[in-house]
Amino acid sequence: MEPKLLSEAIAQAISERFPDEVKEIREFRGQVSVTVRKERVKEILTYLRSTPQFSFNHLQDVTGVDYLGRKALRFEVVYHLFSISHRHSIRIKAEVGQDDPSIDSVVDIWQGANWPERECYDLMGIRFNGHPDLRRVLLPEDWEGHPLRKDYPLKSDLGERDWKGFKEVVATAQRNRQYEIREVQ
Amino acid sequence: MTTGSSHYDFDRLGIIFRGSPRQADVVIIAGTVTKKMAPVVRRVYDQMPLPRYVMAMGSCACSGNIYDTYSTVQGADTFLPVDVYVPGCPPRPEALINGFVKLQEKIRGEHAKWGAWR
Repeated sequence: MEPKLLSEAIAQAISERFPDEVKEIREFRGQVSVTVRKERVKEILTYLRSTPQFSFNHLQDVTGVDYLGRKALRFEVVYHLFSISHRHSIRIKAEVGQDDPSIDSVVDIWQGANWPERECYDLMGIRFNGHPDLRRVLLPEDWEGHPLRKDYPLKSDLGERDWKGFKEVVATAQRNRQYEIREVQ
Repeated sequence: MTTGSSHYDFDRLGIIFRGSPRQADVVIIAGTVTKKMAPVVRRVYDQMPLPRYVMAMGSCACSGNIYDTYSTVQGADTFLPVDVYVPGCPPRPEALINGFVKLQEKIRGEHAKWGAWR
């Protein structure tokens, strides 16, 4: 079928160039996303950046999705690409399984991927191989757990699992309450 | 901040912003307190000399608002003794001034709280 959108043409070009890697191409209301396997994702993204007719020079975002229980491979890393010169965009989704939640980092392709990948690691627990400085960016360094996973508790009352620094502040406040000046009746 | 500007102006009530907690009487907790920020806020409060008062401004500082999540403290009063709560999201400048008036009434009604004479 003739692709009616430019993004669909790009998606078809990717699936022709990397036939074994592309799992699915989806289009919804003008936005096209290509689901690929994670093994050669760096090659695919380098191809998209360096080919002149695509030239996706702006990596808009790197995020993660958790499909706990709904898909065989639990996570997906989603890359939103945009080309400033040609003004077209595409979405690449790389499937990552739970037993090895890691994927190659794209920091050497786009420098701007540094912090988004750190955020993805911080909140989802997906490791990025080859990232120069993979550590937490939003939560405190000694936080345990990855909050945006589907099996993380939803509400604020984490009980014993709470961050050590916060538990200490509450305990100090409780202890110092005896020294607070009370109204003399 | 609008409360400090010329239209509402709490300077006429005698309220001045100071640059350091060491010189302050009241600390306003304005905005959402995250668990990462809670020890820092507590340290600022601990640096204030007596007599000191705490005003929780905004629904997030009062109770955590709608953000019952892993990172939000459900109200500044979990780790600080709060004197006045000013709800609102955001509170209007008039509501903040009302909070200060209530705090002034509370201070006026105190008797021998900070020592034998005050």
